[in-house]
Amino acid sequence: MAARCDGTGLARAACAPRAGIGRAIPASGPCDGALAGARDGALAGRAAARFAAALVLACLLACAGGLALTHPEPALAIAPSAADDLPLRDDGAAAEGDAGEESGQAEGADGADAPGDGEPSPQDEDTEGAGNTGDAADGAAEGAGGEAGGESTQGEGGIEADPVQSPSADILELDPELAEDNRVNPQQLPDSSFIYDTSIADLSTADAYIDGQTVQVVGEAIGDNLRATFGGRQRWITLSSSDDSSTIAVIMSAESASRIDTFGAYNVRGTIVQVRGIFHLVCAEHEGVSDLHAEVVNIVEKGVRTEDPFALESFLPGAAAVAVGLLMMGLFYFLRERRR
Amino acid sequence: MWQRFTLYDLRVIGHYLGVLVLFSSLALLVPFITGVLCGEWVPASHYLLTIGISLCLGSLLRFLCIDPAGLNRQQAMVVTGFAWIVLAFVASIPLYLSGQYVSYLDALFDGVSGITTTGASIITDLDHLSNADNMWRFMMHLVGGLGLIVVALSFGLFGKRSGASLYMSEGRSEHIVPNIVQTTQFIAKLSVGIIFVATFVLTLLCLFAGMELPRAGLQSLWLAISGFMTGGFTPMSTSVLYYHSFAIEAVLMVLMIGGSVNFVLYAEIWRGRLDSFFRDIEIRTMLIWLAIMTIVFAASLTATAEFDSLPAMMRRGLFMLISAFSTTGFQNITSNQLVTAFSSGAFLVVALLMAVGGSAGSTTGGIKFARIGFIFKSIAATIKENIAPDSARVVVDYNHVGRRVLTPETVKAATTIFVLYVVTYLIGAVVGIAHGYDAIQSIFESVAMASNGGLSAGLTAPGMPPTLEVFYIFEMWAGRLEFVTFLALIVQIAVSLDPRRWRRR
Repeated sequence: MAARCDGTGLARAACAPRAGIGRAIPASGPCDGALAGARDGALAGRAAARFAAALVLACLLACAGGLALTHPEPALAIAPSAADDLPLRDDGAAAEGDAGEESGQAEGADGADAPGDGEPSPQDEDTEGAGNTGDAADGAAEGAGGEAGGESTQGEGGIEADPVQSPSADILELDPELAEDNRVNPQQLPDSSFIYDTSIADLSTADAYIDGQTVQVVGEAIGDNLRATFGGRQRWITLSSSDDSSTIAVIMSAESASRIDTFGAYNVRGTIVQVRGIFHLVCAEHEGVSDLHAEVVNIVEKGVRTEDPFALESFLPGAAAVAVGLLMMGLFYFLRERRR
Repeated sequence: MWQRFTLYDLRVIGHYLGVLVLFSSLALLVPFITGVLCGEWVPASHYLLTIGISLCLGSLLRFLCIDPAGLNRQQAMVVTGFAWIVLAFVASIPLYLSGQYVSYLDALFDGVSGITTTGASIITDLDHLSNADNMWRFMMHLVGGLGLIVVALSFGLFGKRSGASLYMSEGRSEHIVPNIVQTTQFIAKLSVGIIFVATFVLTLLCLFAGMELPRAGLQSLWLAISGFMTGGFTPMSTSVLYYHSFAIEAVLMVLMIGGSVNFVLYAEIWRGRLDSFFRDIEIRTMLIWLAIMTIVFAASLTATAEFDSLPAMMRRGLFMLISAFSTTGFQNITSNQLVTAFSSGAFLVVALLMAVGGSAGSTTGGIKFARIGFIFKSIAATIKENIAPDSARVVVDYNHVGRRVLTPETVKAATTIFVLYVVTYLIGAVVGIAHGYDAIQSIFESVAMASNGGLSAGLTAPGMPPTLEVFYIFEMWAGRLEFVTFLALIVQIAVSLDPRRWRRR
């Protein structure tokens, strides 16, 4: 419909598929060429096949290296008092033995064993992948009023981040005591393929093009923490855009949801949350609801409560109007009785 | 033939409108108390001011005629017609003061939508609205759904002399009991009782879902009011989808169906006459209509890639079907899904369901099952007359609280209203198209407004063109009055303002 092809990034995507929409980063050219070459090499001969295979391996190494370069500083020790502000992978088990998989975040690491955070297991919100827990404020700011505070790696409230190891270490091993805490890097850009750093407003007008894609949004948690399953292990959280109050339903683990300290209401600005996950225009798993299956949940900013103090002067105009109205009513009944 | 109103008529009309405005100050006490109890001092001050304004305005209007006589039919028609718009103006004051509306016109739109139980809303940031303001939105649904005149009569506001005229001019022709006041009291008590039970059940479900008790209680009350009054407002911007609870949706479906049944039939059930309920022409028309539309709707949904799974179709499709036919306007899908994921056939089926609406004498809008039933019976009678011998006399009867004969006057009245509705739907669609919107969406929105259905395809949003907004306000107003009163009002005003008629006197 014409109205929907009128200016939004996603709508442009519908008209021009894979045209570098938003901040999506498609697979790089050389890899595509190498794969195609590999296919052609199978027919061209064994020499060409060997050459093609070598080229593919080089591409993979380059991609992994690029991913690793954009990862945040690994193994940051976080002060316990700031634990509430830490991003949480939505596997509900951030504390459980992820150290080995966290190695994917090592800078300059040998990319061969670095799964990279940019490709979370799709369809699985309990991914054990090395979650990129400090994803970008930069993209989040686009259209979402992102307040990921991209000035420093310190989260809300000034978290002191002391690196456990030198960033130049080839392999970083997390202190097991820190495994429970996640790193915060609001400045980190989305660095994985096929992540649409988008806004809630765009999702609320999305069409089938973005269905099933991994997206990243920032919004205010509003309303309530609602039970999604009978056992309560999963929760529904509604995120609201600060721009136009459009909303998106997010399903996440109870552990992730418990990190949200405040829900938006009257005089309450709820916790600002950054969520990465898979968007479903019509989710088959949840009987057709339009939702976002969270894979990574970051707390960007805590909620704020505004007081509504009692002020007598604000009631004076109303009280005066009521007094005048009652006087007029009294006068009316007096005149009516006098007539009778 | 056309008699214009005299000055005395206008004074009497003004007096009774003042009575209604004064009554609205009682209704405004509810959100005021809510604001005080919840510590929402700013909204509470707004409602205190609005109470004062309504007291002053109502008293001023009553001064127009200190001791009026009873209302005649023409005066009652004007009082009924203007009551909705005058009260909407008063009701919009606290909404505008809340700061959640771009302009007073937007607040007036929501005020009219609330009182006429349309349910379309152009509020900004509903999720951060105060409990006091939310309470007022649903009080408008409660008062409007029962009927302003019904509520006023049940409180005896108009005395004993004017009840019948007012009751009939609000589009109600059936007396549950011979006494008008007792009839209105029955309707009010039945509604309050059902809402109370539904609130209790919904509160338990909301608590189970994870809400806190005060919030669960308030939201349940509001949903129960909106569901049984077939209003459509919800406390959260995502409508019923927010709760992600099939149990809550099921309770609301029962409420919506209950709200679309004629109150007269409730009295029959209360008296133990169940056969009267199942033989009623409206119930039978409803069952046949819903069966046909469910099949068509399901077939059109299966054509979509997204909703072709049975669980999705059952849960989302059935709820939307019931919400549309009862002209409630609840949604358990997003507006984007309604426009994007639904096929055009399913989209138009929803519009058609809203267009026809529910039962006469209920809280629903639309053309009404009774009229559709009369028209089809008339068609059947016409065919029978053509087939039957010349000497035969074809008599068509129907069942509605007893056996009745279908008279030509009944058919004429039903056909007139049917045509008026269809013409209004088309005019509204043309107005929407003239503002640059998509044709199908314009038709959908026009039907939603005129039938007081409230489902929105996206045209009704903050920032919509003011001219379109004003037109939709008139559509909602006309739909609530079922056109005859509305058109008669316009004609009466035009005649009264015609200078040629002044000179004759």
